[in-house]
This record gives sequence, structure tokens and C-alpha cells, in this order.
Amino acid sequence: MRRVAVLTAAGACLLCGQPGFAQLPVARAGDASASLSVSAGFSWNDRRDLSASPLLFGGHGGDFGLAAQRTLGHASLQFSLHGGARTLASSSNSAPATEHLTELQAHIWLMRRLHLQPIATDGLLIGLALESSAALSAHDYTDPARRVSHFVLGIVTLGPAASWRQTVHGGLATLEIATPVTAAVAHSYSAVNQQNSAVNLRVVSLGALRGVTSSLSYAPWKSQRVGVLYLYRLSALRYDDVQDVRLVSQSLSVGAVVRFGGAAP
Amino acid sequence: MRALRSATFALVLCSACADSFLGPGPAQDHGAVFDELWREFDLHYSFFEFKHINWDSLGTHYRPLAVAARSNVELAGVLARMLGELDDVHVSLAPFGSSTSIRYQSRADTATTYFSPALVFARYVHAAQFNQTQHIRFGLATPDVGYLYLPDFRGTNWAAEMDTVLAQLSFARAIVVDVRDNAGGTYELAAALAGRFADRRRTFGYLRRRNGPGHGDFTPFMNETVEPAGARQFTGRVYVLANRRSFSTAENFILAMRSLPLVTVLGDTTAGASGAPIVRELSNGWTYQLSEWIEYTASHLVYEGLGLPPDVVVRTTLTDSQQGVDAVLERALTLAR
Repeated sequence: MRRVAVLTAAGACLLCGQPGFAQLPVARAGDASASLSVSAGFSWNDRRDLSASPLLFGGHGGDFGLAAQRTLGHASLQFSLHGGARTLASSSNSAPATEHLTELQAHIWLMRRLHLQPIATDGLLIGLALESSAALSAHDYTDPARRVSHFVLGIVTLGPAASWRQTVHGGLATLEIATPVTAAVAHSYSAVNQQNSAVNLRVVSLGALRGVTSSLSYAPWKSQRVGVLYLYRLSALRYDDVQDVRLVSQSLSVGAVVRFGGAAP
Repeated sequence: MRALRSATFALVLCSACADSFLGPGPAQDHGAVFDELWREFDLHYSFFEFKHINWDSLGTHYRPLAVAARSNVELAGVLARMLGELDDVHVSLAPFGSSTSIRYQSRADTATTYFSPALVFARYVHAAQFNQTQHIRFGLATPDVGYLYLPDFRGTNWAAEMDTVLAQLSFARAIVVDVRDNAGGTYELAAALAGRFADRRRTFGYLRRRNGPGHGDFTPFMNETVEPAGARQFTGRVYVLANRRSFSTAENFILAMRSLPLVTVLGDTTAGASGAPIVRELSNGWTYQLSEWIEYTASHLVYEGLGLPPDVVVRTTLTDSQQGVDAVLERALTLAR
């Protein structure tokens, strides 16, 4: 978990490490009414899914992201898709089992200003987040037959979201955070196979599922049509069931953002 | 700006607290390992109700023994004795890596069947040959009766090799398929091989999987079907030979074959190992397997521990064996005439 703090600090440095961070004038113009970004990077995952194993698995792998944002008056609609494949290893020396995790997440955030200010201005936005994720893990057991079993975890959550936008060094820093209030979960009771592929959906609330999705991004030169994007994401999930699930994932990505509409750069 | 800095600081704190989401690692003392194994079986094992097993009582009896175990070897012995009470050949424990596995020995495991593949190929089957990967040994028992010996259903992706074998036996009027002493293997493979004899899609059995914490929590009945598979199907008379040591997937195969109209099963009742094991692991790295489903015949009968009776009962005796006679195969050849 030491790497959690290291990565978070790295993400924070994207903002706080800028010289004269607090003294810069706040830009009010030049924001586009739509943007599209792609990013790629690395992801670090820690997970314990008791339907597969009591062991904690951790590891890393590639991560990709695709996001689009559309401003509609005082509101903003964001859509993002990201995922990747990771190889995870057991944290126990006595159990050399491994997991291959494939994840895909899709988020839709509908945000608006608290006060009737344009979206482009710095400050707080609040709204609703509809988030979904699907994870397929191939668990390599160390039994004599070296069998591989597959497990599925699908979650759709709905909850409040908040976003803080701040102009920093002529770029745009954004901190976003969402937490689920209600969710529908499809968690395989045991290994999935041809005779056991039916989805068992369970609707849960805060009593059974708690989590947070957050991201910290920085896009320098926010008034340009095309720019660079630095993105750090952190999400954690605690799902209580007959067989509990605990997940923490972080990713650090670099990408490009293309802005459309709005004032010309 | 101050707010953004505060929020960033909050995010750092949040990530530092991520450990609380993951929770503490599982304990690995003997009591904890016992509890973990006991609970996993409680959640997943499929035959508690069918076999009238009081799992709570077994846990109460064996837990103090596990806690008192002075070594991992002793602990493994206690756990194996508890699992042995389930009377299930699909239950096993691999406590010290992949090289060792402790498994319950059933009566079927030690049954004397007097079946000798060497005798069959020396005395009854001519022009015998192996297929490409030596999964199927086949030949002619009479000029127009083919013979196939399937020692197991291990592995995957060799069902298509049956097509080549059936092509070489295309002139046969009848085929004997021998799954005596067959230890089982891959379910999907057995179903695909049975499909080489299917005339149309047929339901041959039903499955229910554990899907909840209650011992009676199961999925609805799911059909098990066999359907035509492969480049060609042999739909003439088929005689399937079985015995007490036809285990697990071999029993699935027999169940599928006997749903076909021109198939006759001869020999002895099968082992009665129907559970389809899943593998799992403990936090100390030991792995184990357990039955997770209940398989039913087409008549909705559970055959776990009982076996599948043949259509024609023929038992090979010690005298037969001493005289070099395979009574089951001879009976099949008589019926095939």
C-alpha cells in the first residue's frame, strides 16, 4: 500500500508542484464547450474477492482512457471509458497463485454549477454520477491440475458527484469525486462456466456497498485546441456479501485532449 | 485555490486510508485455517442435504483437533479426516504444494473390476491402433463391429480426433465404446465425444449448482444436452461398456450416451461420482477441491454415491480373468450379432 501514497503524491505534484501556484490570475475565457481526451498509462490494483480466494492480490498493468465532455449552459455532461488488463500476484509468500484481471469502466456524470455561473469558470460543480464497471478475473490456482477459474464482478452505481475546477498556470486542474448511494451488483457466487453463466443481480445500498471514485487531472494550456492531459485516478470499493469484495485501484496516465467549440484559442 | 489544495490533501489522505477498504489479511493459525476451510465447504459443497450430513456437528468435533495439531502435517491429517466424512471422491486437499493431494478413497476406488485392456487388445480386437494423440485406441472386434477404448477424458480439444476414428470405422455395423476404468476428465470433451453418436439434440440429465449460503440454495434445473457434433456421426448400434471404476466425466458420458436410441450400456454400475469439482485455495496457500453441483439423470434421480446401473448387467469374475475372458465385451459382441 506504500505505492498508494507514492502515486497520490505524484498526482498531487501535478498541481502543487507548479511554481507560483496560488498567485496566478484566474482565466475566464477560452474554455471550449466540448472536449475529447484519450489517455494511456499504468494502473495499480489491490483486490480481495472472496468468491475466488481469501488472499489479497496486487499488481499492475496497462490502462487506457477515453473521455468526452459537453457543456450545456450551466450544466456539463461527461462520459468516460477506461480499462485495461493487469496481472496480479498473491501477497502471501506461501500461496503463489496469480490472477489476470481485465477491467472496463464507463462513467456518466451530469454536473452543474451551484450558482448560475458558466461552466467554464473556476469553482465547484455538483451532480450525479452513474458509474459502471465490469471485471473478469482469471484465477490461476496452484492445485495439482493447475486449474484456471473465471470470476465476474459487474457493478452499476448511482450517487452524488462533485467536481472542482481551478485554473493553474494557464492550465486547468480538475478534482472529481463521486460516491455511490445505490448500486446493482452482479457478483459470481463461484467460478463461472458453461453451466453457471446466469447473472445473479443484487440491488444494494450504502449498507452493503461503499466506495469512492476520484480523479485529479491537469491540462496545461487550457485555451489551446489540443493539449496534454495528466490524469491520476483513485477508486476504492467495499462490497459486503456472503463473499466480500475489497478493491483499490489507482492509475496514472498521460494523454491528449482536443477541445471543440467555445471561444477560439 | 485554497479549496483545491485542501481537496488535493483530502485525496492524499483518502488514498492513504485505502488499507481500511482492503481489511486485515486472514490469520493463518490452525484455528483460522480450519474455520476458513469449514466455511468454504459450508458455502459451496453441494451434497450436505442429499447425504444428510450435519456439517455443524462435524465442525464442532474436528475444530479442537485442528487447533491442537502440533504441525501442519497433523493439521492436514485432521482436515482430511473431516473431509473424508463427506464420502465424496471429488473432495480432496493439496496441503503441501502441487505434488501431494489427499483424497477420499471410495469403495469404487478399490473395487476389483478384472478389466484388462491388454487382454482386450490381445484376444478380441484386431488391427488395433491408437489415434494421433493416443487418446483413443481402436480396432475391429469382428469384421463389422468396431471397438473404441477411451481410458479417460483428460485434456481438451481432441474430440475432433473421434471423427478420424469414426471415418476408419465407417463400414462398421455396430461399435463398442469401452469406458471401463475410465477415471474421467473434462466434461465438455465428454459431451463433444458423445455428440459423435447423437442423431439429434436430446436432454440426458439436469444440473443444479450451489448459488447461496444455505445448504439448499441451488440454481434451477439446467438441462444437460447432447447434440450432433463433429464431421460425422455414427448413429448405428452402440454398446457402451462400464464398470465400478467408470468415474465422474465417464459417468456424464454414459448418461449422455444412454439417452440415444440405439445405445445399450453393459457391464456394472458406475462409481457414482457426479459432483463436478471446483478448486479453491486457503490463505496459507493450500488448495482443495469440492463438489459444487448435483447432477440428475433424465428421470431426475441423483446418482451420487450410487452410480448408474447398466441396461445389461455383466460382471467379469476372477475365473473369467484367470481364463482370459472378458465377459462384458463378449456379451456386447453377442448382442451386436
